[in-house]
Amino acid sequence: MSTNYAPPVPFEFPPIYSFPPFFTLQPHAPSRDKQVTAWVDLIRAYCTHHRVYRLSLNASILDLPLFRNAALNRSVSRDMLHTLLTALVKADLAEWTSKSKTHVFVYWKSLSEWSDTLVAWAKDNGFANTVVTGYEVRLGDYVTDQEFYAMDEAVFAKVVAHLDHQRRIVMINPSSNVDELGFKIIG
Amino acid sequence: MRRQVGIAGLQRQAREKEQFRHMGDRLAASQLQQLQDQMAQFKSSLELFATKHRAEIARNPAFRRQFAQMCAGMGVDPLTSSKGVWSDLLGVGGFYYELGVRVMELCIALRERWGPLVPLADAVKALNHERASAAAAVSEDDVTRAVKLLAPLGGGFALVDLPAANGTVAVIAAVPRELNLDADRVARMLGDAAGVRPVTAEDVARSTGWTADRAQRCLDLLVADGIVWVDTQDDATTYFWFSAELLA
Repeated sequence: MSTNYAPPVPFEFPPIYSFPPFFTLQPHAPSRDKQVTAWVDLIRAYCTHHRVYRLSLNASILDLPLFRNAALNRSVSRDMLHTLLTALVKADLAEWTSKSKTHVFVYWKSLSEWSDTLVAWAKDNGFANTVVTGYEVRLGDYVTDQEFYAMDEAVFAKVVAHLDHQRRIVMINPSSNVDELGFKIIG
Repeated sequence: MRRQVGIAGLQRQAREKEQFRHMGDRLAASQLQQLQDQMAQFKSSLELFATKHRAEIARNPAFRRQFAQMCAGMGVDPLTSSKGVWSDLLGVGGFYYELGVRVMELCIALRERWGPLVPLADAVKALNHERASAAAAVSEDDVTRAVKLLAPLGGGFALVDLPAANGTVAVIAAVPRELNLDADRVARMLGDAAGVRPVTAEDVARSTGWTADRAQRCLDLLVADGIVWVDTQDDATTYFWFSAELLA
């Protein structure tokens, strides 16, 4: 998990989070399907709330309250986490970052939703049709109150690529460093 | 009365007895006649009523419920039997049988989503959705009656009140085979503590006096039916919880 964002209110877990068997992958297939669906919903809601862009399949992630209910002394196992992330990817809510399948980008908003958000922001705030840098859009003083503020660099690069592909931006200065990107958002 | 002796007295007694009997027969006959008349009138009124309102009975759940209650009060049940004077007369008897069959079909169709326990409210919603075009809505009361009619078939269809987050929720238990008695007993144990505490195979064995093996087999069966979820995070013990679906 990589985020520095502190949400204004704590995340409210659904009732099923307090149900101990929720943390054990169910052996009976139909029960397991329902369980995984409930987990996918929960992970999406949690990542939206905390603006989480990445989840990694490593030991520290299992300390996240999302996957560990301290009050119940129950937590998701590594195998189960792999199952859950796979389901998340299958639901188009995440993407493996590499073939090794150890990290995912979490798309609590899809790339096209993010694209729409950026274009709307540019139009509403007078940044359309003028050159902006990646840094300005992602970390600038004008965007501190935006949902995309401090967006994960890799996800940001994907959103920009998506916009470019749709010809909704004009790339002025391509760069592998997202902060140095220069482009015009067509309004 | 002075005690009569001799032939004349005996004959008079016999005569009086005979007269009383006649009188009694006449009375009984007239009462029977009256009853038959009333019955005939009642029958024709009910027939008239039902013919007049047949469409309404088939269409309006609230009206149907009142009609069924009225008939039950009089000891006739035209809606729930397809054989007999009443339903032949009224032509409304098949209603609950047809509905029963549709409930069965629905439970089978919804098994993927709900497993063996279909909440009554959802069943009604699905039934009404399915026949939205027919414009003949059914109520929870109708479905309840229909499910009760299915009971003698032994298909495992029954209405059960399960504890839920707020009070109880009525569900149609549509286990394709009947829960065996062991499983039924354990399901009850679990249902009493739904969402509050789990049981272990040991608990079941202790409170029922069964062998550990029998308790384990029974719990495995409930897991395979999706009624019970397992929690294996304690090294030593597996905990069995009543299905989470009704909590979520």
